[in-house]
Order: sequence, then C-alpha cells, then structure tokens
Amino acid sequence: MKGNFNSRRKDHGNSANGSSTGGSGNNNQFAGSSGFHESAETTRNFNDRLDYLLAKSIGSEVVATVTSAVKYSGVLVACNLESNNGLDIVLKYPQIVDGGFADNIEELSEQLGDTLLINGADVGELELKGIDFAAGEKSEQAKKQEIEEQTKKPIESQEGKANGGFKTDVDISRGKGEVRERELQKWTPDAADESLEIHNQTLEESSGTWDQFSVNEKKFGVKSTFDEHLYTTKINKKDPDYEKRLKEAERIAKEIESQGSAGNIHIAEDRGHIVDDSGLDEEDLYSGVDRRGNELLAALKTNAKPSPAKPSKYVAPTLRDQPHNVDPAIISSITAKSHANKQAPTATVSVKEVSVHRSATPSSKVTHVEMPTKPSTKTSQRTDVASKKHVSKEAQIEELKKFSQKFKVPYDVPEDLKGILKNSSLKSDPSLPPKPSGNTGSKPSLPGTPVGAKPDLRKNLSGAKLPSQSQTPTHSPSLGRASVSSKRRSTISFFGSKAPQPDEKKKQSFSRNFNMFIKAKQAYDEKAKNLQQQDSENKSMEPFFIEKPYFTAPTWISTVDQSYKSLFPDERSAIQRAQINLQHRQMNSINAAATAAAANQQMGVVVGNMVRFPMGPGGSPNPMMNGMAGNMGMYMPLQPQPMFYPSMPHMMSMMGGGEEGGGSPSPQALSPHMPPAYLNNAPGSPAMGAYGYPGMPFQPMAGGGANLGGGNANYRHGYHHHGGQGSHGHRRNNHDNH
Amino acid sequence: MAIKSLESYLFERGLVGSYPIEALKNAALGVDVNHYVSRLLTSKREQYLDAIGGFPTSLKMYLESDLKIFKEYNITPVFVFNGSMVSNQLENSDYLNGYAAEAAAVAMSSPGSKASTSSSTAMYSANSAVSANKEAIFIQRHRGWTQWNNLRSSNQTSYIDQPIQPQEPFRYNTMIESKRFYSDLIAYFIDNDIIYQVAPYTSWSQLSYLMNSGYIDAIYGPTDCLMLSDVDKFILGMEFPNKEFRFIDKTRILREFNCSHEEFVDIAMAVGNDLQPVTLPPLQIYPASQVFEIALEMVVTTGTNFYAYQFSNPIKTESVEFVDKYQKGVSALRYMPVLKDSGKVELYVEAENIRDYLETDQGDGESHATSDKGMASKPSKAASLTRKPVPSDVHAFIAQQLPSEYYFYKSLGLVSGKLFDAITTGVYPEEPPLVGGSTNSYRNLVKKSVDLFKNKEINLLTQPINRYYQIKPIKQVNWFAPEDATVLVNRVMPSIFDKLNRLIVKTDDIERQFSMKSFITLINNSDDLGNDFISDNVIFPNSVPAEKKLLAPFDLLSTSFLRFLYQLDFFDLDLEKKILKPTEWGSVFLKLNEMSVDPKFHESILILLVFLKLDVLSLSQDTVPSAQSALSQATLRSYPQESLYVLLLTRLLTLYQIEQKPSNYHGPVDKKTLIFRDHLHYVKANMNEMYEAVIVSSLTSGEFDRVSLEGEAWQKKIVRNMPFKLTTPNTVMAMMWQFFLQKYLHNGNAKADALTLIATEFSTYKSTPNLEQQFSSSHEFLQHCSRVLTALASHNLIKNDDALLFEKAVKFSGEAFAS
Repeated sequence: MKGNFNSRRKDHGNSANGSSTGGSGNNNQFAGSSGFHESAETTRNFNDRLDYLLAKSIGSEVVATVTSAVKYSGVLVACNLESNNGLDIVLKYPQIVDGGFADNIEELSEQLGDTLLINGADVGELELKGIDFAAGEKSEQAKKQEIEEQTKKPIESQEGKANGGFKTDVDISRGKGEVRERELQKWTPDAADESLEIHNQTLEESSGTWDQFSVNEKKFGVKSTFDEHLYTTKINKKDPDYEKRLKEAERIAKEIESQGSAGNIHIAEDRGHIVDDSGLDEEDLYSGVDRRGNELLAALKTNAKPSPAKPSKYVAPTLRDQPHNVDPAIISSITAKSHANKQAPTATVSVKEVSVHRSATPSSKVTHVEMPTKPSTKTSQRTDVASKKHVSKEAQIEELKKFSQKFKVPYDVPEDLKGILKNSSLKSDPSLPPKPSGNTGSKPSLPGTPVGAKPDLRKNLSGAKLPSQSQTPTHSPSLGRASVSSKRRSTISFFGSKAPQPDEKKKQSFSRNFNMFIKAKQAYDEKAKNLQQQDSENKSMEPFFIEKPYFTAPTWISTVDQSYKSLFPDERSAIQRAQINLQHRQMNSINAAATAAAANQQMGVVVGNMVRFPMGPGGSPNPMMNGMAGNMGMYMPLQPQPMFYPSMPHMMSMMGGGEEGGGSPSPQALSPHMPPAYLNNAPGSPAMGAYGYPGMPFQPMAGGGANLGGGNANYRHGYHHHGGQGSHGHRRNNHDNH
Repeated sequence: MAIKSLESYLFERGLVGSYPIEALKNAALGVDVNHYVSRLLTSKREQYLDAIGGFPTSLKMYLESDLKIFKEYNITPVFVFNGSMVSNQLENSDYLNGYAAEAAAVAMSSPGSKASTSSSTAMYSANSAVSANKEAIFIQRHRGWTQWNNLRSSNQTSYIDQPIQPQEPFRYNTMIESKRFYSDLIAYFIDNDIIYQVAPYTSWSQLSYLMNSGYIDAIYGPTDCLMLSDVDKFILGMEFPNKEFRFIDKTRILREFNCSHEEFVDIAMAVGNDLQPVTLPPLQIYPASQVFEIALEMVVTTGTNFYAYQFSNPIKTESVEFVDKYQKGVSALRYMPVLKDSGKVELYVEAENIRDYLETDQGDGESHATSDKGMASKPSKAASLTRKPVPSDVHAFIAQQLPSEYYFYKSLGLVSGKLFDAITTGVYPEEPPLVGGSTNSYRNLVKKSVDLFKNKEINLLTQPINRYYQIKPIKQVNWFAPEDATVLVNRVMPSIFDKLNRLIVKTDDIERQFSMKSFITLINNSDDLGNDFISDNVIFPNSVPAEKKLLAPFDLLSTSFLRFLYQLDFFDLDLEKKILKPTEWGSVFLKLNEMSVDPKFHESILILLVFLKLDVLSLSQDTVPSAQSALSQATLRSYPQESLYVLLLTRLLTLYQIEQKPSNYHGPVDKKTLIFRDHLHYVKANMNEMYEAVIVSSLTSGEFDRVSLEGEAWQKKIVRNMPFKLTTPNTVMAMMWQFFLQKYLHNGNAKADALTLIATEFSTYKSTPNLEQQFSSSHEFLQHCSRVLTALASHNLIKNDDALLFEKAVKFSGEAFAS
C-alpha cells in the first residue's frame, strides 16, 4: 500500500518494487512493471490515447456489455469521459447481440429505440470494432505533403472522383501522385462570336470614340444624370461673404503648405515641392511605409547588443519568406498563408499586415520573434539628449521582450475573456498592433508568436494581480495546473452573480438579532398586536416576562425518541453497505480499465514505439486484459489490496513482499505501534492482510480465478486512469469530436 | 483543529484557489477566530510568550493591519469565537482528567525518564491531537526552562550582571491556545466597533448558520468547513501582503477527490477532525502528515467505509470505543447547537432535502431486512423524508443544554464559559499554569479556591436553572492529582443568591460608567451603608415594578461588585439588623482613593489584596520548591539585602503591564518571577469567574432591565466595563527592574549604564521607546503598593516587617532610578 502512494508522488523506488515482485515467484507477469512509472506525463499520455481511441471510434460499430451481461451492438454516437462513473455512451440503432442473464430479451429488444444511452456505471465492457486509425494518419500525412507541395507547383488532381464514392479533398489531392496536365490551348472565338466586334480589340487598339452614357442610353434606355453637387459641397459664390471666406481659405491653405513636409515625400509632392528622388524607387515613394523612426531603435540596439544594423526598408511580399525578415506579424501571416493552402491573402489580411508593420520593429536575430514595441517617434526626439539613459532602458526593454517571447500562459484563454479583451484592454492601448485575426489567428501556433501570448499578457496586467507562479515562462507542471486554472476566474465570480452590496446596517442587525431579550419582546409585542386586532375587548394577555432559565431542560429538544446511535447502521448493514460500495467502485474501475486497456492496445499498434508487447488480435476483452496484465507491465502491482480477497493468498504474499521491497521512504508506516491484533487475519502480510473485514464473502467481479491477477492489475490500471482524469483535469468530451 | 493533514494535501494537489481580496468587496466576512489566530501566530511567532505570560502583543499588530485592509475594501469582519467543547473534544483533550495525562507527559519527557513510559505516551498522543497539542505545549515549556536552567548553571561563573538570553524557544510547532486571550480580543473588538460573537460550541458551525441565514457572505475558517453540507465555498487563508485570499470550492474538491460528500465526511471522521479528533484505525499507523491522502486512496480504490471498518477491529473494547467516537463525531456535525438570530441556542439540523449518509443507510438497512434494527429504522426513515430526526440524546454527543440566556451571555463574552462547562460536564479542570505549578503555594491556592470561589460560583449559577443541575455532582479535578477530585458543593441553604439579593446599589444614573474608583467613592459617600445598600425587599420577582429594578449598567455592575466583595469577605452583612460594614480588608480597599492610588492600579491592588488574604505565600517568602533566581550568584552573595528588595519589587511588578509596542518578544526570561505571576494570575482568574457568577445570577433572576439594551450596548456598557477580564500582565517590567537594579549595584551605582543595558537586552528601541517614562510610571505603582501594604500592616493583615521591607525596597529602587 505504501508503495503505491510513494510511487504516485515520486518516481523512484518503483524499480525496486518491480524486482521484488518478480522475485516473489509470481513469474514475469508483473516483472515488466519496472519499466514504467506513472508520472503525471504518463497518465496524461494514456488519457490522451483513450481520448484518441474513442474519438476514432465514434461513428463505428461497437458492442457494449452492460452489467447484466446483455450485449448491445450499435453505432457509437457519443461518449462522456468526464463522468466519474466510468464511461457514459450513446449508441445509435442498438441491437441486442447477447441476452446474457436477462430472460426477457424480447421485451428488452422491443423497448429499444433508435438511440440507447448507457450510463457509465452500467457499462461493463465496450468493444470497439473496425476502427480506422489510418484515416487520421492519412490526413496527417496529407497535411504534411501539402505543406511540402506548397513550395512546388500546385498540383490538381481530379482523378479521384472517377473512382466513385465520397472523397475528401485530402484524398483527392493525395490519391494520385502523378498529375496529368492538359495542354493549354489558346482561345479562339467561334465564328458566331465575331459579331461582337471585339475581334483583336484591346483598349489601346480601340478606335473611334466611346461614350458610355450614350451607349447605355441606346442599349438599355438608361439616362444618366450627373450633378457634381451630389458629391461635394456646393460653393455659393453669390454669398456676400464669399470674398472673405475665400481669403480665409487661402490663408489656411498657405499656412498648411508653409509647414514643412517633414521629409514626407508624399506630402512634399502633394504640395508641389521639388524633391530629390534620385535614390528612391517607386516603392519608397508611393507605397512603402516611412520607417526611419526605427533607425533610432536599431542604433540603440547596436549599442546594447552588437549586431549589424539593418536597413529599415520595406520588404516586398515576395521576399518576406527570406529569413532576414523577422517581423512577427509578417511571419505569422506568411505561415498562415502557407497553412491555408496557399489561398490568396484576402484584402483584410494585407491591410492588417501594413498596419502591423507600422509599429513593428525589425530585430537583429534571425530566429528572433519579437514583440512589437511602441512606435519610436517619441524616442527619436530625445535620443540625443539622453541616449545613455536609453541604453539601460533598452536593456530593460530587451529583457522584457525576451520574457515576452518565452512567456506563455499555460492555459487557454476562456472564450468569454477573449471577448472582453478584444473590447477593452486591447483597444485601450493604441500602441498595440491590431491582433491579426481571422485566418491568421486560427493557424497552428508558432513558437513564441506574440499573437497568442499577447492578449493573455494583457489580461494579466489589466487584471488585479498576477499570481507569481503563473508567470513562470515554462508550462507549469500539471500539478500546478489546477491551482492556476482556478486563478483565471474573474474577480466577481467568487460570489457568483450576487456580489455583496455595501450594507451599513450589518452592525445593527447583529446588535438587534441574536439578543434573546429583545427578540422575545418583539415576539410578544407582535402577539399582543394580533390579539388586539382579533378581539379588542379581550386584553387579558399576560404582561411580558422573560422566560425563566429554570424551564430549560438539560437535554436538547428532540423529534424522535431514539438514541443517536440508532440512526447509524448496525454492524451488519454497515458492512453490507461498505461491500456494495466496494463493488460499485470496483465495477467502475474495471469498466475504465477495460476501455483503457483497449485503448492502449490500439495505441500500441499505431504508435508502435510505446509499448513492447506483441500485438494480439483484438478479440474479446478478457484475453486482452490478461495480455495487458502480463505484457503491458504498465501499472504497479502493489496497490492497496481490496479488502475482500481472502481466497488469494498468493496475491497477498506478493503484495506483502512488494510492500516491503518498495523502499518506502517512511518506515514508520509499519511502526511497532500498529496494534498486533490487526495482524491476526493474515499473518505474514504486514499491512494488507490487516484490512480484511472478517467473514466477508468474496464476490468475484472480474471473471474466473485465473483472471483474477489480471483483473486486479487492470483494476488498478483503471484506477489510475480515474486518478489521472481527476488530477490533471483533462476535459474530455467526445461529443465535440463527433 | 482542522481535518488532519488535509490542508497541506489540498495545497499539494493545487486544489486551493485564489482571488484578490477585492473580490470580497462590501462583503460581511465571518472569521473563525481560532483559525484566524492560529494563522497569525504561527509557530515561529511569539516563541517566548509562554516564558513571560500575558497577551501576545504582535497579535494586535497583525490584527490592526488586517482590519485596515478589510476597511479598505469595505469588508465587514464578523469574528466568531469558539465556545464549549463537545463530548468528543472533552474526552480527547483530557479535560475530564484536568489534563493530568499531559502534565504527566512532561515528567516523562524530562531527561531521566525511561523509554518504556514515553512509548506509552507516544501511543496516547498518536491517538489524540488536541491533547497532543496541549502536551506538546507543556513539554516545550518544560524543555525551555530546563534548557535555560542548564544555560544558567554553565554560565554561572561568567554571569554577573549581564542577563543570559535563553536559547530554546518556549513554543514551537504548536498551535497557540487562543482561548487564553479571548477576553483581550473581545475588549479590542468592542473598542474598535467590530462585530464578534462567541459561538455556543463550534465556531465554524455557527459561521455556517450565519452564512445560510444571510448575515455573512463568506466564511474564513478551517478545513472542517468542508464537512458542512451547506457550505460550498469558504476561505482558508488570507495573504494580506499580496492582497489575496485562498479559498476552497467544495464541489471541485469532491470532484477531484472522486468521492461523495458522505465519503468525505467518513474520511474526515476517520483521520480526525475538530469534532472527532482521534485518528481511527487503520490510519493511526501512518505518518500524521499523510493520513488524509492514505484514507482517500483507500476509499477511492477499495470503497472503504471507515465506519464499517471500525466493526472489524478484533479488539472488542477498542471497536466499541471507536465506533462510539465516530458516531459522536458525525452526530455532532449533524446536530450542532448554534446561536440563532432569535437569540436562542438551538440545534442547527442540516437542510432536509439533503439525502445523506444516514438516510441512505437506513434505506439499505431496510432492504436487507435487518431483524432487530429494522423496526427502529422504519419510523425514522419516514420522518427523514420530511425532516431529519433529532435523536433524544443529543446531550450525549454534544453536552447538556443550558438555558439560552446563559449562552447569550457567553456569546457577548460576558462570561468566559469555564464555569458553564463545569456545570454541563460535571468537571472543573485545573490545568497546570505556565511554569507547571509545582510549588506548594500554588497548589494550596488551588485547594483554597474551592471554598472561597468555586462552591459559591457553582451555587450561584445552578440556582436559577433546572433543578437537575442543582443536584448534579460537579467536581474540581486537578492536574496533579486527577483521581483525588474535589466535589464542589452546589447546594447550600439558604442559597448564596438569597444571602446576596438584598444588597443593591441603585443610582439610576444611566450614563455613569463603572469603575472601582467610582464604586469606592459611592460607598465612602454613604453615611449608613446598611440603609443605602440593603434593600428591604428583593427586586427580582416579576411583581416588582420595573422602575424598582436595576436600570443603569452602572447599578448592575456596582451591585454585582458589592456582592462580589461581600463574597470575598471584604464586607460584613447582617440582613436582620440591616448592617453592612467593611471588614478590615474591605476598609483598606475603601481607602484606596484616600491613599490617592491611581485608579488604573485599583484592579491590580485588589488582586494583590485577595492574594495576600488567601495567605498561601507572603511577599518575602520563597516558594517551595524554590526556583532559581534570575539574579546572578555574584549579586545574591554580595548584595543579599538588595537581592531581597529586588525579589519583592519584581513580585509586585508582575501586576504592572508595561506599555509595549507590538513585537515578538525575544529577551531575558525569569522563571521565579513567572511563578509568582502564575499565583496572581490564578487569583485573578478566580475573581473574574466569581464576578461573572454574581452578575449572571443577578441578570437571570431578573433584577436588571434586560430588554433595555441592544447587543452593542451590552458589549460596550457592560462587558467592556467588567473588571478582571484582561490577561494578567507579563513579566517584562519586573525583569527590567530586576536587571536594572542588578546592573546598578554592580556598576558603581550608575543609572545610565544600567538603563542602556536594559535598552539593549530588551531591545526596547522597538518595543518600548519611552523606557524612562515606563520606569517612573511603574515606580509610582510600587509606591502606591507600598502605601497599601503599610495600611494592611497597620490593620495587622500582613506582617509589619513585610511592609517595612517593601517600603525600603521601593526607596532603594527610587534612589537607583533617581540617581
């Protein structure tokens, strides 16, 4: 028993357990266990696998055995893994395959509807048939290929459709390696088309005048009217003040034009200034964003960290894949594009890119992905004066940036929070780039992409307080996870919807209530009032007296004439109850174990490198469980022994041996204080035997005696599954996957 | 005491959530004082408190800063104190044996004892946690003093006038006994307008009631709250520096634990919790820090039911005992008396719609058709559908019921409740004081207290209540001889109250505030005491018109005080002849104003008078067995006369509370002085109880217009003005004088050096910045004492020599300080 607890917490000591169990003569059934320890990671892996398995099996035919041994087959529609009580499943088109012990099968099958819900507690066994693991595999590969192909020519394959049946895009694109391209042919108009008179006519070549309005009127009878003043303000030149206003307008125009263009070529050109544009190309002149402000930052950067300053030049989209371009926004948008099957970037995306760009900073490192910093125009004005200051500041900024790169909030932002963030905190800080959304946001996250981390960081800053441990740059361990997750609730929700309101009368209410004299007086007054209302003549009510303490009996007022002891079950029913409880627990465990075992086996096929046991045929679950017990060696054999196994002396001794060999770090567990009387039941087994309820009939739950060992091991197995589910907070619901 | 090992386990598994304190804005927060204080005074704090006595000053500091934060967020704290212990706790804490086992453990823990005996105590302590805590406290104190003694003897040669600092703390790894400061805290709460309540029994059950009746919004309590079916969330801890709090969400915990509420309660009862403190088999053998984890594992994996498990214990006597404890624990949880807003104490039975452990049990029991119990469970099952049945023997697992009025006084803090507990349990335990109480004089004091105090108190308190209590045997059990208990006499004819009830002070001055000074003035102003203060008729019957009853709080307190003094033989009373006159002791007390004794010293001097009157130890007499003086051998040998002076002065200075700023005391300790302080503390505690008994008897009989006051007025006008409530001062001032005078003697009578020594040794720069002023103020106190002692000597109440000696001592100290 000890070994179990220790192993759950610490990983060491398990090998000792394993060897000692092996040595205890119980052959190699458990010897394999030494290789495994159930770290949080392992448990989680198995949970994931079970999830995976169930996700895959949805839609396929399954056979479920309920506790009454009736077997139902049907299409698995949904299952609920969150249940504490095993695995709730939903079957579509259920049929009874095997009547089991039930004698009224006809009746049962008549009752069957289209859908059958089986409570997790009732699911004894779930056999999953014909699950196509390859399907997922295929899509995975397809994706990979897709990505590879993106650099090559896009290949279109339409052949797949010819094969009949439904095919997904993936199938289609992947189905045939070779793609036959048709030869492109020049379009030539048919004879009939010549009547359109557009033969050989391009815009340049066109001759004659073209009045669209007249053509329109002629062809369709639409008469165009045009009034400039529909689109602009009419200038009333007859206004008596016209002259005055014109002058004023000119003055303002001059004033604006007299301002310097501040090096802005567009403005200069608009104002008719003559600009030396010899060193500039069209991009610089009309399209590129003026980013000279960043020269300053780059210069600062060279001070802080020697690295070659980079030209702050706009990079053409075609060159953006080049490694020197490290603008995070760009990278993310590019990857987004590549992941989006090379769809042409939509207009919104490009707009956003530009806006991101304006505030983004080029960084010195190639793989560096940086948080966009504030526009540096402000800084530029001050640099000369206080460049020294900036060096240290820059170092700080650098640090913060580094932090922000590493920083990942170890949990998903809840949906509701996202909305709040979008609306409030992001907008409140104009220095932040607009969050790339839409297809950019939905792509698989890149390492350190600020897109995902940013809102979380914001949230934490804007929230009341950031708990220290959630700032850890790495993922917090799964143990800490739970505590972290509870921190993300917003402040109001401690009281739910009914947050306490300021109440100045609290003190008074405490002062008035809880005072038996005043309360008694109040009650009396009320009664007197009622009495008066009822019968104004009869005022013979007794004057108010405080009840004499003399009247209080030393015993408390009771409603039944029984001892509290009789409200408890007696020995027999208590033990019976405990036994039912045990069966219940055990049933759940076995259910979970069976499904988990199936999952593991299947995973073994797929993953291959995970488990060392030879793949057996996925037949009936019982051999499988045995196989699991024998070969998997996944779970510690020494666990607290269920109490009702008097018929298993070999197990006992094994458990005992395991316990002693377990290298328990707290030897006082077997302290001499243990009442020796407890040992009477099973001499030789230190702690385990002590816990048997005397005279309890053992009711086999997991099959024949030969299976007991296996059943037990799997039962433990199942427990750990449960534990894992609980402690790691995996939320599993395969409804979503369906 | 919380569910064992659960709290750390919760943190380990990350099941404790956290919120900024802001989330509690505007809330009324119910605070379990016991839990709260144990959070504030962790084992690292106030480690020397038990060596100097008194109130932990740092507690006030933490409290103040916390209250500031509460105020900042407009949080209304409601402090709920723990009340009486329920049956399980009484048994477990060894209350019924006067904590004799714990005291005995001290002897066994001392170096010379044999291992065999200590192993039996280890067994014992493994069984019990409250007592283990108490035992640990006793042992640590003992060890602290032993260590200090050793240190002293090893430094004997080098120690001349530089006091040795103790190395061993006198408290660590134990929960502080907060009960001892309850009155001080209550006084603090009253002064600061903070809502408080003393629960009739378990504080967290009271909090649960308050929350479910909407008086508070949240609970700050121990892990035991998880056992309450109607509390979903509660706060486990506050991190005020971070402005955060840690809370527990029950639903989440149960989900993570994968167990039901019933199973959780089952585990809690097995591992030990507040209501059932014993760790039941099979969990006893595991390390205490892991019991919960192990128990949970057993339940989750094997569906263990610990209740059923107890039946499997092959030792039948143990089995019966543990089943009993378990049943009592669960029942106490289900039927816990709470103070309801009606002002009455009633059982707080859990909401009826909860399908709980007991009911399902009965369902099973029936379906299995258990032969004999089947009959019994049928009707109760029917009842459970409507309301959970309240068994007829709640007194067996809680305690006997007292009138709600008594609980009301307790909830105000008007009474400490120790006497009430004595009435319900039949035992008045005397536990060892801070230094063990091994002196003959202290034990004498304990014995003498029976006649002078306890018998009268019990009579006063049982007279107004159910006749059952008037004949119920109640005994005083002393830790040093538990088997030799003294049966208290609760029946005297005529009853004490009958003898007292015509003594009445009636001024009808509603605004007047009670103090001993005003009382003395009132008495002294009377030409004929008999005429003024002996009423012709009793005023308690309902037939007496209201205006003839006591109306003013001052009258209530003064009447009680007069009766109290009469009980202590400070007055002679002849009802027939209507004569009331002070005895010799009384006349000295009445002269306090004349002698211009500062009113703030009146209480201390009255305690001194009663102590001297009890005549167990004269001021100059050494205790038997004697304790080592804190003075050095060099001092004792070179200045024998002055050493005697110092002894006298330090003894009386234990009645003087130095004004300290909140700090964790780390400084010199003095066992001899503390022993004397124990004596005075004992006297004070008894005087307090006597006064409480007198005032309660007056109140319950109906002499006072009880409807006139609201809760707050009760607290402010009556509770706060009652004498003897606060803790006896600590020994710091006494030690300061002691070491000051020693240094002064050795250092060529240079005062400055001596004061510097005190300043450094006691680190007064932070605790007592106005050191000189404290010295002069305490010297004033000594002068007042000297005058009183002289007056006593003139009445031949103490030996003339003692008074003279003390006078000289005061003179000596005055010279030293004035030089």
